[in-house]
Amino acid sequence: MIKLMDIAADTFASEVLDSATPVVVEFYTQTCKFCKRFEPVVESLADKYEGKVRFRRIDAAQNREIAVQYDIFGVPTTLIFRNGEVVERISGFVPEEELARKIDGVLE
Amino acid sequence: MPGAYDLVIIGGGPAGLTAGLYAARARLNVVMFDPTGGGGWLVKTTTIENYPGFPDGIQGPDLAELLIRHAVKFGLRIVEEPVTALLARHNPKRVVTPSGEHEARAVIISTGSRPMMLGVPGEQELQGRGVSYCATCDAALFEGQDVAVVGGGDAALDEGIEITRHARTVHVIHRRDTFRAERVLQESAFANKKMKFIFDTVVDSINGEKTVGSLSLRNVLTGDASELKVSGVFIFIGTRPNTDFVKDAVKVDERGYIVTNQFHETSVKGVWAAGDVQDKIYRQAITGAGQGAAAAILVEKYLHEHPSI
Repeated sequence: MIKLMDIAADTFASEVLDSATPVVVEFYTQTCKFCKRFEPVVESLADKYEGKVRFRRIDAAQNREIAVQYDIFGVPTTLIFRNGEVVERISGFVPEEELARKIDGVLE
Repeated sequence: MPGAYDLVIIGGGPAGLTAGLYAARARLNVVMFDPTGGGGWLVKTTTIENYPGFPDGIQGPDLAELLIRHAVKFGLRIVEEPVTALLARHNPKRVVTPSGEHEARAVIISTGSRPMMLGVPGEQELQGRGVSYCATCDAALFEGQDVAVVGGGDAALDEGIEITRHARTVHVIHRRDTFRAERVLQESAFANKKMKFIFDTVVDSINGEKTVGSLSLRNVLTGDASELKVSGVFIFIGTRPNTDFVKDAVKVDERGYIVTNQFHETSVKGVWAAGDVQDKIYRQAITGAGQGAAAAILVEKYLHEHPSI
């Protein structure tokens, strides 16, 4: 299974905003064990959408400016970016099928 | 009964995991369904100071991992799927999940409870944007900021104290003039310089455009309205049982709790319930664990006495 690559404030633009393919960004915190539980769900989708969608994760507490910019005051929160814009926002732990549906919607 | 599990456990908090441990050690063919992989409420809590055997306290998620490891070590299988329905009228019972129907000679329901919402304007819209039900997840996002905690029980004070590690000020808003929380928690909270207390007060709305900016408060004695500027609000006003999927299968009371007798039996023979899903009184990790153990012991006895089921 693909492990989610961590990004930070300094790589956010190149990894997310400038990406030619849609990007799923998982916001988490170190203390959020619930986020850890959610990771396999996202990683499984990272496998399935390999080549079509980029998957990254970012520590929202360590990268406050990015978190605040996107109004992230709760984790896990998943944002889907297309052409540098947020097109989907998913709050909390959701089943794999539900997240997959959102990604499919963005790919259409 | 070929193909049927001896026991299906629905939900993997302290009650379900302890039931799983006992059932696995009894060499029952047992499986647990839990969409998050087990741990239940513990995964979202901070320090647990009243679970016996941990004199220095233990983090909820760490206790969850230990309970999971313990049960899995003895053979409990945890399947990360939600249960959508329970067909309990006939034997074997049928437990429905997205991957199919699973036959069970006996069932323990231990799906616990979920946080109650305030039900005020702004709460739904601002979830993940400053409205939180999980301090351990989100407290770090409020570094140096002013936040509120709503509630007066153990969770409100325990989590409130935890949040002071990050926030500048934690305003505890409670609708009564005294807390229900354990005395030792009250003492810690009152001694904490970062905590402020607003009694006899309710939240009328949570305000903010994109994120939480303030709360509209009302004093229930005087009727006076006021506004409190905060960038986050953590809500711990109690819980509701997770019983929507079994309402038609077993008897639940007017608040949705599964009705059980002293042996944790539900209204349907062969179906037990343990932990917060049927407990309106104790609601502790340790009582959940105890109830799970009791239910599993009784399930084993039942299966032994009814080999044809």
